[in-house]
Amino acid sequence: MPSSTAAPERSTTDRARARRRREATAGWLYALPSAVIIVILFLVPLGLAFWMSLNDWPLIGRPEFNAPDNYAAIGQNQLFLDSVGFTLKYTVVTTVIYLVIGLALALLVQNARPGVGFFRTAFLLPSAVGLASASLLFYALYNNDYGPLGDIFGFFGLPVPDFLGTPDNAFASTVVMVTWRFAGFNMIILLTGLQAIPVEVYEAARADGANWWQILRQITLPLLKPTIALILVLTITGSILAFEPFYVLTAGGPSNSTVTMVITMFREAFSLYDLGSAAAIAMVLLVALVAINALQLALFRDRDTAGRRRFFGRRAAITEEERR
Amino acid sequence: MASTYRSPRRAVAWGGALAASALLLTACGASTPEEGADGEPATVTMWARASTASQSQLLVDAFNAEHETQIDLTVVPTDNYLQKVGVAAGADELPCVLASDVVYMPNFVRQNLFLDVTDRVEALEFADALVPGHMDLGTEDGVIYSVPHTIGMSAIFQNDVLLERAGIDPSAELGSLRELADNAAAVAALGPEFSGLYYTGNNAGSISFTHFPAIWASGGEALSEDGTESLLSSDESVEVFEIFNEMFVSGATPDSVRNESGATRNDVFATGNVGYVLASNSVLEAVAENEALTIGVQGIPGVDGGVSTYVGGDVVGISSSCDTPDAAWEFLEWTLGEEAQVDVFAQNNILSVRTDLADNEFSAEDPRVVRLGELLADGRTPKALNYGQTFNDPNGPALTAFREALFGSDARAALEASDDAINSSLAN
Repeated sequence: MPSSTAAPERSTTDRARARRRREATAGWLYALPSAVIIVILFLVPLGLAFWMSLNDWPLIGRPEFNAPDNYAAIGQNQLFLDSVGFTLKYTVVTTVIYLVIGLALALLVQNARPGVGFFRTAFLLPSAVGLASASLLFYALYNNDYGPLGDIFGFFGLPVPDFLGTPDNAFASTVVMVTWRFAGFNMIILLTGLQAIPVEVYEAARADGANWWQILRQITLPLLKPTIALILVLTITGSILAFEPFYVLTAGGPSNSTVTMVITMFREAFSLYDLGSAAAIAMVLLVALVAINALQLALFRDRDTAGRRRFFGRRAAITEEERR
Repeated sequence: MASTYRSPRRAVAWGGALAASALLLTACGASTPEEGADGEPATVTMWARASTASQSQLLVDAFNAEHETQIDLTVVPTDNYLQKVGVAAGADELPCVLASDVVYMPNFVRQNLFLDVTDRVEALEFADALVPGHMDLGTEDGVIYSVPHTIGMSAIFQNDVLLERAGIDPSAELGSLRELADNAAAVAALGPEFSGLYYTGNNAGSISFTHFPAIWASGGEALSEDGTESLLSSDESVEVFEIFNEMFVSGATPDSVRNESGATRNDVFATGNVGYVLASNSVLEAVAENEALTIGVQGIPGVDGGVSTYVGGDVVGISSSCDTPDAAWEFLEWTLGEEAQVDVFAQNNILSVRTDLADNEFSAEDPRVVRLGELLADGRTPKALNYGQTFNDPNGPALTAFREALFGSDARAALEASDDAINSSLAN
């Protein structure tokens, strides 16, 4: 706050100060409920998990301080080390697929045509299914003894694939499942981004004779950058924390080929009953996620402003000149 | 945050608000005691795993029908039992009566999940007649924590109808694992829809259950005496896996075995298109005979002869979270009594957990049950602290090793390569 040197009357400053204090108090009171919830449901558990990771923490009984043993053990945990590569591979594959399919669906249903509402709804509906339920549903579909997929392949004379029997098939089957589950959700996000692009821009481009591909490359994608950034953050975070699809569909099999990082964390806690090690893995995951997302946001912020400057370059120059 | 309030009164208000919210949140999680009000019969909670729950259910129903105390049974999916028990134990929310796969018992005892029942067990007249393998795994340093609950033993079940079509005498005892392989090949040669030998090939808990006996019958060992070291790369063990590997390569064992996690094993045998299946005694309860299927029982032979079986199944104890141990013991004691073992178990073709009741009015009627009872005498239960995380856990080191040995190109190399991983899992 700027302080006035012109010695105002005491009472005024007192009154102003009292008002400021009242406002500050009111502000804190408004924020209090959320703050309490964040402290109790987020900060306290986070602190507890960090404290756990510094201890040998049995299921029942007294924990013993043993830092940094739990962190050192991560380097010896072959299952976790193998799962890092697999989780990153899964993350890259799902991110690309979600973006391409989500964008394709969004472009398909963006214009108001008769019946478009039906398709928007149909594409979005899978998102209403819980991830574990969807995994279980597909587990039944992929079972060749009971599920319909084997019969359908057979009906068309195709060889019936062993959906979950080999590492590659199990991976592909899981990717198909999560794509079905998430594509519509990403479509909706991209759709809102698409609808925010002003129509004049497209009209100008068409007047300049740009074709569909050029419009997509040079107008739609650059203006969708913030939306794409949002989807990237959501997808990458979600995929690095992938658990349910693989836990339900493949249980990490066949032969540990589809074990994700969270599955190894879960196993440390609830199969090996070593809560300290699990907490240490959780902390490593947390730091990695924060780093990855900070990097993403930084990249996008730079590129985003650069993109806007390129696009609005002339207008920005004009306004600067006007200012002068 | 603390810098935002300047007067002590406000700090108190803050603290009060925080404390109130904390109280509200924790009040929802408080558990209610299990005892009913005065005069009400106690309700005792119990968990059992899905694969043996049908037997637990029979006991619970019979007990509830004639007692004041009521047992409330919850069935937990077999594959998640370890995790669910772990979560509940961490929150001190275990059920009063906890049944457990017998192989988890040394670990559960180490985790202090069970109450000491030594005096209660020793007061039983038939304490010496309880299945020794189960008692061994539920005992630590002379303290008893559990009693036997259900028997799951491994054996070979055969389809006599198919064997006769393949020119094999179903009443002849299998002399060796090699003979089993020859017979399975003969059955598989009957036609493309027929399989010689079927078993669970995608579940290391099941593979140890059905394949360890062949190692024992060959005079070998799968684990060291104290359960901290794997002997799976020993010659006897490698020979056993090599014979199974040959059966897979030659087609005597169908390709689908590689994906069988156990859920559909009995259903596949029930089709009548399978000559032999390596399975547990639950086949006799679960699979109905028809004109294409007559079920016979064989012991699991060694490479050149001998016979053995893995005595698995469930033990049951009183959990450390239990407020009503007396009511829980009332149920446990009743399940071991003659009424439960004979009128409930034996009458339903279920093996008794008491050696003194193995011969009873019902078991004598079915020669297959008699045969299982004979095999039980040669049975064994391996004891290892980390058995669950090594063999039963789908992400444990054993499954990859077993699958490579059974379905890969070189059983010996696969078992030798996995020694370190299995040993470190057993020892840590």
